[in-house]
Formats: sequence, structure tokens, C-alpha cells
Amino acid sequence: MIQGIFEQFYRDVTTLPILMRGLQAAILISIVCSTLSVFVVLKRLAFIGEGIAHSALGGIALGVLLFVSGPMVQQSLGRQLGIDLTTMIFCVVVAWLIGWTSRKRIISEDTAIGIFFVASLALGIVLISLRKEYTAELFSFLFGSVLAVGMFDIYLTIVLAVVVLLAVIFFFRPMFLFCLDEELAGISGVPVGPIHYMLLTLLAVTVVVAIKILGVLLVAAFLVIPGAAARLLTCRYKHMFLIANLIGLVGVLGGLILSDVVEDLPSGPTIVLGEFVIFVLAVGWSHLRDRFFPGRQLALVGSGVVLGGYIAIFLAISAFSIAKPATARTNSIQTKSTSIDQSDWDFFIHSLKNENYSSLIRKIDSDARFVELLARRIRTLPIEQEEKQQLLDAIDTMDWASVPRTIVKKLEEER
Amino acid sequence: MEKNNCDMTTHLHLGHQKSESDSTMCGCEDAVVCVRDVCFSYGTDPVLEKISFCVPDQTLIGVIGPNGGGKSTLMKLILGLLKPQKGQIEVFGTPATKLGRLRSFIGYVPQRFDLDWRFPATVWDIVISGCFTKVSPFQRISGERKARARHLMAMTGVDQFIDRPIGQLSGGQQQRVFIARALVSDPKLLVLDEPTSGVDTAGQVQFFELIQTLRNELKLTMIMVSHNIGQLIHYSDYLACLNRTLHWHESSKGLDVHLIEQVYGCELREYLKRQE
Repeated sequence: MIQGIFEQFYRDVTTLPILMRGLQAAILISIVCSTLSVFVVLKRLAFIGEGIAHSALGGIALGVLLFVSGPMVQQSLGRQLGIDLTTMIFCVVVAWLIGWTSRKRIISEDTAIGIFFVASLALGIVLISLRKEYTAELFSFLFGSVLAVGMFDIYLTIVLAVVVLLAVIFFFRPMFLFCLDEELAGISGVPVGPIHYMLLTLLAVTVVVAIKILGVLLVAAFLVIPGAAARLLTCRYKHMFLIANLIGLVGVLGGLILSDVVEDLPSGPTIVLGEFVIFVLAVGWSHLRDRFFPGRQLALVGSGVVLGGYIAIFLAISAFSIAKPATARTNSIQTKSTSIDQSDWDFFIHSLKNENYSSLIRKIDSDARFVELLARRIRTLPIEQEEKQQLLDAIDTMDWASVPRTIVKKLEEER
Repeated sequence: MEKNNCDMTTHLHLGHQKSESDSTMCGCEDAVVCVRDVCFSYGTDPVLEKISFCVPDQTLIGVIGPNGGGKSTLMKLILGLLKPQKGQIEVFGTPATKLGRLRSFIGYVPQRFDLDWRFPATVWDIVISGCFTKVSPFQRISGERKARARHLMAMTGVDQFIDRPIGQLSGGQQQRVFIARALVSDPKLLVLDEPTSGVDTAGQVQFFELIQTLRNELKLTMIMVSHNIGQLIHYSDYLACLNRTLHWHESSKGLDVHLIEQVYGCELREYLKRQE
């Protein structure tokens, strides 16, 4: 049965390029976020991560206005690059403003975050209300989706991961002093100001990239939970990075598999819940350890127990869901609101039939949820596996003209 | 001590003469720290006014004064974290704010801070972090430095805690770990900011004994801010009494209660009697 879970996930990943990209992006993002989470926890930056994530909505709205409805770029890749860059610059500026006001002691850090993130959120809402037709796009950023990840995002994430890891390796020792005590670090010759701003910049850029998968509301979890759990398990700085990354990786894989196997689970929240379970297990373990083995760390045993516990819970849940009769699962998919709207499905077939590809591409571009549900629906269609694959490839490449007319006809008949 | 002929416009210690015409900044030939006519204010409130003194090599300067008297500000100025609005500060003959690599010759022991008891570092990690800024990012820390770190931990009496998380040590033990840390980089000047706050009397006596040993063995120049006047007068060479202005006092002349009262602005006789 357990083998079945992994087989199904493997099958889905290999047949669905969109899921494969999601998996790759999620793992890369997890590495970046887990690494940064160590600093977030030690420097108490959790609220900043949250603030930057929320203010990203302002940046996205600005990007959408400039590059989608505005006169600047119309092509798909340029548009995406435009929105991403605008959001990044916006978030970095907000992060620096927060850092600057608190460093200069104009106001305290949490007050600065409270002010700037609400202001940029409000800006986002005001800007987007000017162009109502793009509200859907903005809302897809609230929760994100693994299936909204394009090839461009993968490249972006790879670059980000390389930059973050290089920065952490290069500044490994100064960052230790920076986390220990800023004044002490400054006196020891660590450039405290530049390091603070570098950390804020890395956080801002990471948040923007991670929003695609986790959404504005959940992204902070990735930046806090792995580090927080790792700190409970070890008392060594460098081991914290390893354990945080391990927790992030297990959390992402577990969450993705669960959301894929139990078909109506959204990916982002499932991953976050999984990481929360790991954190709770780590709290429990650290209590037991301090009680029965006072003064000892037992980092290796602890990590094994916590991750093992999580994997056991994960297997139990997925085994339970897979044990349900297949018909019950299909029925539930069709009756739940998480399946594609009939009107959307009609629109899809209609667009294919009339070769009205531009409106279809616009819809896919602006609504990540639509793509996800569309892919799901296609996978449950009573047509040949090969034909399904052609449709899924078309979602991937947006080359709808390559879909044979025979398939379109079949879809029409099925309706 | 005559060769340490400093220009001290405000100190009460007579016997030194003003030497405006000297080619070096304050006329001290082997001064580690020279402070001349320094004024500093946060906003419009003056914190330090016309402070001038110099710290001769291998002396221990005790800095005392009431809270808000400018002790921490003066330390920050010497460490180059703040820039004086008027006057000059030189450390090792270089302006304090432009120390660059010379900064690694200053050891600093912070005032006890609320160290998160789960901070992921063992005592060894903290001590060895003292030489982090002396090695390049990918360079391994040499065996020589590690041996020095072990030696210093033995001297400060924290070697038995080597693998313990720093947060689980008591305040006094943490303080000694941070002294070992400050000494790892082989500094010439050690600055201690209220190192004995929150340490009990027995602990304070032990602490000053340790300072004395370190000073003799490592030939250090030290500046120590402390409220423990009784111990400071015993162990230091000079007392810098700071309350916006500076009163310089030679420790060997014993405790001048009038001076202390002037600095603190209150009756100290009763307090000192109780301390004895």
C-alpha cells in the first residue's frame, strides 16, 4: 500500500511536467528558506518575513499595472519578468525602509513593520481596484500553487539558491557573531550594517520567489518553522543549518506527496501543516530530552525521532486516504468545489474548438488555480493516456495549435 | 609615570602639565588611547564635555560614575562605534573611527546581555569566535590559535564547560567565557563594560583576581567600567570619574571620598561604610 503511494506520486511527477517543475521549485525554495530560517530565528526576524510577504502584494499589484495592463510589455515572459522584478525591487525597498527606521531608532522594528506592511498592502489593493479584471491574478498570489511554477521560475530559483548559499558560506563566521550580539560583532570588526541589509535583501528576494508556491499568507512559515524546530534539536550553529534543511526537505516532499495522493488537498497549506507537525514533535522531543537526559543535546537521535515520527504520521494519513474505494475518491473530486467549474471547462473546450487560443492563454496566465484544476480534470478524462499527455503538454508549452482536432472532438462529445 | 605627560584639562590629578605644543596628540609617548577635548551629545543634551585623558601602556584604568554619566558613551567612542562631535580620540595612534584591521587588537567584554539560553553555541564556539575576524572566510583556524584558546579557557577557569551550551552557564561563568573570547585574538587593549554587574561579592573578588593575573601574564592595557569602587581603587592604576566631565584620580593616592561624592553628587561615606 505504501509502495502504491510513492508509485502514484512518481507516475504523476513523470507524466505531468507541471508537477515536476513544482517539485523542483519547492525543493529549491525549501533549501533557500530553511537556510535563511536559521538567521530569521536567531535574529528574531520572523515578523519581518511576514511583513515583507504581505507588502509583496503591493509590489505585485504595481507590476501587474505596469506590465499587464500598462503599455510596457505584452509578451508572456517579459510580463512575468516585469512583474517579478517590480515585486522584488518593491519588497527590497520596503525591507530596507524597515531596517533603516529601526537601525536609526526612529521607531522600533515591530512598529516599522506594522506600518510599512499595512501601507504596501493598502497600496496593492488600491492599485488593483483600478483594474478589476486582474483581481483573479492577484488573489492567486494569496495562496500560491505548486502548479503555477513555470520554467522561468525554476531558473530564477536556481540563481537565488546559488546566491543565498554562497552568501551564507562566505559570511558564515561574521553571521554567527551578528546573531550572537550586534554590538559585540561590530566591535570585533564585523560590518554589522551591511550584513543586516544583505540579510534583509536576501529575505525580500526569497519571499518574492517563494510566494508563487506558498502564497503571501503562508510564505513566512518556510522562513520560521525549519529554523525554530532545528534550534530545539541542536545547540550547534552549523548543525542547525543541516537539520533545518532536512526538516524543510522532508516537509516539502511529504506535503507534496500528500496533496497529490489525496487529490483535493492544496499543496502549500499541506506542506506548511506538515512542517508544523514536525515542529510540534520537536517541542515534545526537547521536553522529553531535557527531562530524561538533562544537559545532553542528542541532536542526531532527536532529528531521527522527530522526522521518523513525522514520516509515520504521513504514511498513516496517505494510507488512509488511498484505502478509500477509488469510486468514492472520484465522486468526491467531482462534487467538491475544488474541481473545475463547468463554465470554465466549457470555456476551455470552446476556446479549443474555435481556436481562440489567445483568450485561453490569458486565462491560464492570470489564474493559477484554473491550470491546476484543468490538469486534474484532464487526468480523469476517459480518453487514451497518450491523448491526455498531449493536452497536458499543451498546458505546459501553451502550444494549443498542436492539439489534434480529434482530441477536441472527443472532449466535446464527452461533455 | 612622568613620561605619560597628558593634556588633561579637566582632571583634578595635578602633577601633569598642559602641553599644547607637543607634536603627538596628547604628548604621551606610549599611550594606547588618547582622548583629547572630546564633547559628545545625543541631540541637545551634552553627555560628555571636554574630556581629555590618555591611557598609558599596560595600565588598568577604572571608569566610575553615576548612571547616565557617559561611561558607556565614552567606551563606544573609544571603540569607534560613535564619532565625537568635537575633539579627537586616537587608539594605537590612529583615529578610533578609522581603526580598520587594528580593531582586532582591541578585546571587548560586553556588559552582561540577555543571552538566549537556547543560543546554538557551545562555550568552545564562543571562545573561538574571538578570532573569526582574524581569519579569512574559508581558512581553517590554526592549531596554534586553538591551543591559545584552550590555554585561555584554563586561565579563566571555564575549560570544564567546553562542550556546554553557552546559555546554560551562570552569569559569572558566561562573563569569564567572554573574557577568554576577547583574549583569543591576542589584543593589546581590553575594554570591559560593567563586567561584574549581577555577580555576587565572592564572585567579584575572584573576578578581580583573575583580571590581575591576566594583566600580569598577558601584559594588557585595560579599561574597565564598574560600579565596584572599592575593588577598582585596589586594582587599577587610575580612576576616571565620569559625570559629564572627567575627574582623573591616581589610585595609589587612595580613595578620595570628596571627589567620589562630587562625581556621584551624593553622600558616599555611609555607603562605603556599609560596603566595608
